[in-house]
Amino acid sequence: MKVEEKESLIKPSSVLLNLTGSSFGECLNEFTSVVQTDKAVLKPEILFREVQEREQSSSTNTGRGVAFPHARTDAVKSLFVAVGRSMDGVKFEAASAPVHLFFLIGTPPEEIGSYLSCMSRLASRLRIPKVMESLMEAQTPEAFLAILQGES
Amino acid sequence: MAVEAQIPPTPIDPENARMRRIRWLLPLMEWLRPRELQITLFLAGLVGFLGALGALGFRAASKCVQWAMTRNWTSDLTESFGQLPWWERIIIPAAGGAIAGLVLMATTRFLKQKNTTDYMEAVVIGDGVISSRQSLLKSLSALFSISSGGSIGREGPLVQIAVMVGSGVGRIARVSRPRLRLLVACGASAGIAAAYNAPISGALFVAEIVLGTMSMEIFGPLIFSSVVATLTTRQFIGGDSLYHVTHLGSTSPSQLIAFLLLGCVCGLLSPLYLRTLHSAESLFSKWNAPLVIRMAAGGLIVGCIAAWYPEVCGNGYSSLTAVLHGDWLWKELLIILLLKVVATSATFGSGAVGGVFTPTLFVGSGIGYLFGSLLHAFPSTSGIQPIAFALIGMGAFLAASTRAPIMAIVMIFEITLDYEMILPLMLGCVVAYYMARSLSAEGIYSEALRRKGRWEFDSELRRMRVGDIMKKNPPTVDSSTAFAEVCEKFASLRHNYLYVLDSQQRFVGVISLHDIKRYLNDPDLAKLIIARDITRENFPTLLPDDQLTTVFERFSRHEGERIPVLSATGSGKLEGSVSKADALLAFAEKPEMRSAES
Repeated sequence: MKVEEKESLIKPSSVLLNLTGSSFGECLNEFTSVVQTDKAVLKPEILFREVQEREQSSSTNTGRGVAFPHARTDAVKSLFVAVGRSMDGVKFEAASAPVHLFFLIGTPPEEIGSYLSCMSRLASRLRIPKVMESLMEAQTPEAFLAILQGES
Repeated sequence: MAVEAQIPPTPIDPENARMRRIRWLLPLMEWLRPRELQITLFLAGLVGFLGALGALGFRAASKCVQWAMTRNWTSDLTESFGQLPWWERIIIPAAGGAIAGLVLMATTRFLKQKNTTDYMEAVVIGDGVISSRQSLLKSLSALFSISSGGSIGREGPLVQIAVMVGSGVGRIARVSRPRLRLLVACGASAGIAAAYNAPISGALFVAEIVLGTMSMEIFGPLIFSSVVATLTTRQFIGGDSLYHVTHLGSTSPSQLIAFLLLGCVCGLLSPLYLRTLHSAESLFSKWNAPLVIRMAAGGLIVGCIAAWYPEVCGNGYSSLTAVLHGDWLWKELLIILLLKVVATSATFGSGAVGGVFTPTLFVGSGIGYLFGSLLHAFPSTSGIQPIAFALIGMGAFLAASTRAPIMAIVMIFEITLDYEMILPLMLGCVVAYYMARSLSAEGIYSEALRRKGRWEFDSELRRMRVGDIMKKNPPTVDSSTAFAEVCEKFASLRHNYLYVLDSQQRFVGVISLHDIKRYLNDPDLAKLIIARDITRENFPTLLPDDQLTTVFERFSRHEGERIPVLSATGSGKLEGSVSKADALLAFAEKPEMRSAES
């Protein structure tokens, strides 16, 4: 399926299993090395800025332990997804539930279809409590991605 | 396990049910959703239906007035006049003329208008806004002229009423200006169709005479409206052809030559007939009496003729039927024909409003019958039937007078339903049309149309800009609107694109239904995604001052139905949108642009 092809775009090197930041900004910064090495990202700092801008206009926190900070931007040349896991959880806003999984997504402006399909697929998979549990327990990036793709 | 406890369980999300509902609703609505063309067709049908009801109402009203005047319920005006004593035949048309004049004077606009001849079939559409008050007063005036025996056609007010309905329906539905004009034209088409039980002619009449175009964008709704009008009329007064003609059999090639000659004769006489009508008009307008007196005088002239020949009264329907049945000797017919022209000139010249269509048909049939009788008198051509000539004469004279040969051909076919006549009919109509055109540039309606402002609007069309055809207040969403709301907005609208505005109300881009269609049921996306995440920024736009050519250039590279129009000030503010259908409608009515592009 087309959607799964897109998801396999998440490389093990783009999975950070131990985020240590205690705020959205700090967590985002932990992706710096991933973003700088990924060929899909042309301008890392612009991607970060636009993701933060987008987050300010409306939170991407689903309220179920997952957030999808994202931006449609020319700073990426193709769909880019990176994942970060925080065992302690990060509070976006004082009242919200802590976020454990960060999916950082960048997409070229014209690729609305693939962007929506990626968001939709990820969100529906992460809706399942069992998947969330397994993801929190995954030991390696490979295992994490296998669970995400429904291989276990 | 401690981590597990921190993950909140999936709550029962109200978003879920809402999105699921939209998921079902939206594709269904999209499938069922009427496009611009379907909506126009529906409105055209509505105009046809209501226009026909209005026409039926007018028929009923004219019967009542006729009864009040002649104390006779007979449907035929000529017959009920024939049963009156001679002095009543003189007084009633004069009195009817006076009342009709009084009604006309009730609106101040008519007082200013010295030159009053008003062929009501010649609807001038203008910007599509037809005054209901004026239409009703004119129709009321026509009601008295017609019911009191004036030599004038009932079809005029029927068209006027249907046109008023068309304009009203369009304005209530808040359609754009080109579309409002189209609905008014649909009204005219319905009026003619209802008057003659002739749906094709109704549409052709408007296309050929009023709009001067046969493009399908326009012709389709015209046909639809006239079909609905005809069906409605048939429900109430039956579906027989208007004139019953005995089957005449096929035509031999040698007879065709005779019909061709008849076409020439009609083409020659038609300009003479028109000049007579115009002379009567200028004679009356030189007379400085008030409209009431003039119209009473017009009625009096008809009355004086009717004292001896009541056949001249009314639109000429019964006289026409008599001709088509061969009821009269040629001498009798010749006298009635000449007197009918005088009576029609007197009625129209005096300023009465109404239709000139049926009187014209009668004159044509009379000419044809007399021509046929003349040929019949020669031994070599004694086999021909004068009735056939009456039919062809009717069509040929109509073609020559209205300058609408196609409408004339179809009209005669529709009101007689005799297909055998089609070849000589086509021949006669076309010959008469070309003959009349070479003699005089003007048809019966050209002056009325010009005076009432059709040409002014045409020149306005030449200057038409995007701002003139754009629709204001298109549906928009703010760029921070949540996905769920975007979906709901699509579900409640008929558009494929939603325009997205930023916080300063500037146009940012569009959301395409096509892009989001697959994700409509996704409760996870409902709040996660906002309008700006799915906005397409590179969307074509127009400015209010752009010409129609620019509109077509944009649409040639864009498959959507609408293009947003931004403010001319360069502020990026959204002013409205232009639909492809409206641009095509405006273009279809703009002949000089068509020829320039071809």
